[in-house]
Amino acid sequence: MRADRGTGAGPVRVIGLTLTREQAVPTSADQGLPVRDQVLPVLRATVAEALAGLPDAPGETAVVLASRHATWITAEAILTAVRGPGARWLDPRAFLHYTPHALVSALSIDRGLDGPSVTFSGVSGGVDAFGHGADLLRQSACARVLAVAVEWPTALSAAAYPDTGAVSLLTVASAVLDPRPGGVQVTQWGPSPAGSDRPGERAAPSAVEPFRLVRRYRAERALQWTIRQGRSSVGFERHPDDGEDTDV
Amino acid sequence: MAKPEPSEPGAGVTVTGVGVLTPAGRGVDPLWRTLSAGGAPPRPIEHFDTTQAGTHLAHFVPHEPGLPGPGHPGRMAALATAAVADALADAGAPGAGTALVIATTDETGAEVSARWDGWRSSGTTPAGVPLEERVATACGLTGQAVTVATTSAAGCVALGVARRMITSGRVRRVVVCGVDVITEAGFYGLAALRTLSPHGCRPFSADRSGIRISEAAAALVIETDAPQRGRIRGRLEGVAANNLAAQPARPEAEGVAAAVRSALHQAGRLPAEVDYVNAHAAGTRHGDAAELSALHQVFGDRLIRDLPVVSSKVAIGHCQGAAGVVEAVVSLATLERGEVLPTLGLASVDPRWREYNLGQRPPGRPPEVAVSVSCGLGGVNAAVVLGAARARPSGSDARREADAHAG
Repeated sequence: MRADRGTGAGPVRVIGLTLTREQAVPTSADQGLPVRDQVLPVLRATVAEALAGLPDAPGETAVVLASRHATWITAEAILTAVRGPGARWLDPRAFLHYTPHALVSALSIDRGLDGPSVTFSGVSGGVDAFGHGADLLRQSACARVLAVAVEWPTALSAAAYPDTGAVSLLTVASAVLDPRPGGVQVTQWGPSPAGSDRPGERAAPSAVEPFRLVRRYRAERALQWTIRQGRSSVGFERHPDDGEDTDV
Repeated sequence: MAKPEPSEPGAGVTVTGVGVLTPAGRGVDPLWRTLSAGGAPPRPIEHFDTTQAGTHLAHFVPHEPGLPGPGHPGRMAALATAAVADALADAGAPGAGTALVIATTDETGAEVSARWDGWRSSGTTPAGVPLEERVATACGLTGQAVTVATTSAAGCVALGVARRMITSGRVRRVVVCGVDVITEAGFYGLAALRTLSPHGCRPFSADRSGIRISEAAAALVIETDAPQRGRIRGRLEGVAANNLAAQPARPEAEGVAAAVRSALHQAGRLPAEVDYVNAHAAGTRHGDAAELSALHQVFGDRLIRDLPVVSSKVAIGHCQGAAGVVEAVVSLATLERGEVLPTLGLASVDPRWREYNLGQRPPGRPPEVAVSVSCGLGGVNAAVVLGAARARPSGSDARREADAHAG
């Protein structure tokens, strides 16, 4: 079954939302490869769970990923090597895992996902992943979006930017967006309003937090809600046909 | 492979303001002069020890009063703020109601490198303010502030994100700013990957051997068609990107060609309508070859006949996440001035491409439609189609000719 394409202002639903959390103390940091060795396996497993049971559409899938600090460890590892035993001890492949886009690259190459992928690294990234993903679908840029968020704070990143998660807590969230009615719908992406007439809240500045909130609001059977993060906000509403067993 | 999306061809998005700080200086005029006259000289890196890297040179934005020096934690935000402020002034646009999309690859490297010594010695570090927040606040921007980190293609991809914000109908004005600085973490990461060349960027050359990195900030104000004030600088007709690659460290010709075709389709343009290509062409052995192969797939023998394919990277280095926006600025300046500046340093062109027009032959007509290409680590390929303010409508003579041949 081919995935359908969006048509202008059409619906965008969220399905397969999966969240994974585990303590992951960096290993292989001295070689600069903890992202490859510890983040990617968890990311792949989380994404596999989100995509389970969906029709295959690799050539029409974009990956939209949000992360602030998932690859911070690589920069720290590079400096540790350079300032310590020497740059020659650094694995040449370290730079391949230097920016969060490395996670998009790995997923895209693994699964042949060659759509218009984007990596957001700002404070509002978790919200922007839903909002921009919906834009891509409504403007028929692709048939499906794999929205992903990853955080893995280091002691340094957590000291500089609290509220992005506990040190060494690796959190991965994944959801599939497609242009169909049903379940939880993404409605509006825009500036974060000073006030709002909808229930909602300001998400902590972790890329994963909006994903967790979507799951919570749906479990609470909320009809409409807005999640604000940084200077962005994104609205959601529950489709009238959303049943107890409909997947998010 | 993703199908090109249907849309109103070139649906009205205009560029109304430009701001740029590069190793050539501040503004488009110094950049143009530098591209014409031999390029900006590299300087020794002095804000960290480079003895383990095999090269010690990079391109820097010239100092000006108030600009924090290389290595200062505030430099990236200061460069971006200056570029955004210049672009808004050029457009005569207010910050109120304007959204911001930042494109960068190494915000992390800048943060970690700046904090490292203090952190290691004291175990403490000051609280941070995210880059997009600092720039938005400094420039009085009240709309969304989003950061795109899609490696060296971030600038092009950010233009695409911003264009979609506008074509969605929700946002009237976005300033897109590409910015990057030279950080110790990023520099040594690139050195370990054997990407840096002590000889600098030598696009299309037989002896090309890698890149020389650079810092820059470039900003474009883009708006819905027909802004109510002033002139337009050009049209942002189409942007497309994909992550089509077999492995993360080398671009694939198929992926680059797909991005160019998709951007042209979004713009409602045929390849025959393109007058100028600003290539990514960073001077890597595989990358230049893959890109020219892709361009040949799209444009055919026009690469030999008349279509100039130019790289700006000899003149000002590889501006990392800022490159896509810097090269869009160069493309827009080419369209505005009606003049193509050649790729510098073509003394030893790879024999495969000796017949290609790498800018040394002027085009047969003043350029009106440009394509700018960016590729990034991780397999990302992106292309931007820009039209001159005076550009002939999409699908005019070339399309009629193509239709006539199709009978």
